[in-house]
This record gives sequence, structure tokens and C-alpha cells, in this order.
Amino acid sequence: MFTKIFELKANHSNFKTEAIAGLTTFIAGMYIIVVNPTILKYAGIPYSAGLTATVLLSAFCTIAMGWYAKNPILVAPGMGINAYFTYSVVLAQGVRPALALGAIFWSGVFFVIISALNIRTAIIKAIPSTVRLGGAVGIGLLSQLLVFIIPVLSWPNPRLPV
Amino acid sequence: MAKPPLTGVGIINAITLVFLAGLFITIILVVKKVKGAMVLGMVLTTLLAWPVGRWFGDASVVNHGVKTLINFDGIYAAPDFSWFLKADILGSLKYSYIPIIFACCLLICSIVSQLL
Repeated sequence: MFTKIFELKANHSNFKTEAIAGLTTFIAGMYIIVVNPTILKYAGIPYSAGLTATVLLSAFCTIAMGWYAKNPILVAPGMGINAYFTYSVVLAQGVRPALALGAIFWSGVFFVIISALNIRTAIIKAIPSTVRLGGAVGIGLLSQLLVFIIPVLSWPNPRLPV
Repeated sequence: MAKPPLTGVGIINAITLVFLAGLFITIILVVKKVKGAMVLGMVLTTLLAWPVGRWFGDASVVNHGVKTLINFDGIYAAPDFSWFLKADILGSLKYSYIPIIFACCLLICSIVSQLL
């Protein structure tokens, strides 16, 4: 049944390979189930409500991506946008969480419109590949700074008179 | 008076210990070219978090006031829909929120562009 629905033979794959790949993807991405509601909690959204939304939306979108688009991609909340939502919009700018959620909704609508009108491709092409790659590397370096250097090596040294 | 060094030893608690041990285990598995090294590293680190969190240190700062890292809270909990449809969709249709909408949209575009 799976072979027929997902056209596995045509894609030179089999059920076992796809099952292992699915399990690996789940294990690699399941941190989002904990991290996303933890970040949203600081914006005033209860942890359990954030957890419910994260799990249900991730499951629905990932199933839709596999079933409809036939793409084996995990779709889940982005770790950049939730940080922007919590720290920049709600905490720094003082926007109410409900209003910020509304703005996120409209950004999604806007994204669908520019995708349908093929403007999104033009925007992506307008960003130089070096900047795109640099962004990914920069986010990676920032993550390393946050999780490794600051807590473990305490850098910069708090004893330094900065 | 000698200047203090640029780096020093940070906070060594249950979380950083689990992180360092997990990183070390994963590095060894990757270097040894073990099949499924990354996944195995994640599983072993998770298993390691149980005793380390239980026997060493206090993780209450990051674990919602609970001292241990991994806790059994039951098999099932009812989903929390207290924030369902709480987004103020009409209220956010204001001129002042346009920068936020554009910034979020650009962030999504940037993430999608990395997939292409």
C-alpha cells in the first residue's frame, strides 16, 4: 500500500529505507517539541498550550507534505521565527502575544500570496548565495556560542571589566 | 596587576555535564564511523540525562522548577487548547504591525531559500 501511495519504486526506494529515514528524521527533529513551547513560554503562552500547538501543527503539516507533495520533509516551527516572536516582538517591543500571533498569521497569508504569484522566487534569487550561506553559517555559529562557549567556557569572562 | 584571562570555566551543572558527555560520545561515534552515529549519540545522551540529572546538580532553572532533567509525568495528558483561536487577527491589521509581518515573511523566505 505504502509503495503504491508514495511511488516508492519509481523513486528507487523501499518501505524499510523510508521507515528508517522517518525514524531518523523524527529523532533529529523531536527537540522542537520541547524547545518551541519553552521559548513561547517566555512570551506568555502556557507551556502545555505551546506543546499542543507544536505537536498538532507539526504532525498535520508533515503528513500533508508527505501525502500531498510527496516530499519526505519534516515541517515544524522554525527556531528563528519563534525566537524573533518571543524576544524581539513580545519582550523587546512589548506587543501583546495575541496581537503578535495575528501578525504571524498575516505574514503566513502574505507568504502564500507571494508564493502563488511567483514573487517569492524573485526575492530568493535577489538574495546572493553567499549571503544565504553566510546566514546559515552565522546562525550555526551563534548557536555554538550560546550552547557551548558561554555556558561551558564562560566567554567573555564575567570577571573582565567590560 | 595581571589581567584576568579572556575565558574561564563556566557553570558546570547537570545540563552542561550531559551536553559535554553527549558531545564527546557523538564525536567518538562519528570518528569511528559507526552506522547511525548521530542518532545513536542522541539516544545515548538522552539516556545519560536520566541518571546525571537525578544524581548531580539542580536543573530547576531550565526545567520548570523541577530539579531533575527527565521526569515521568504519566503516559497521557489531555491537550491544552486554552490558546486555540486566541490570535488577534483583526487587531494586528494595523499599519504599525506591517514591519513585523514583513520581517516574519522574509524570515520564512530565507529559510525556504536554504532548502532550494
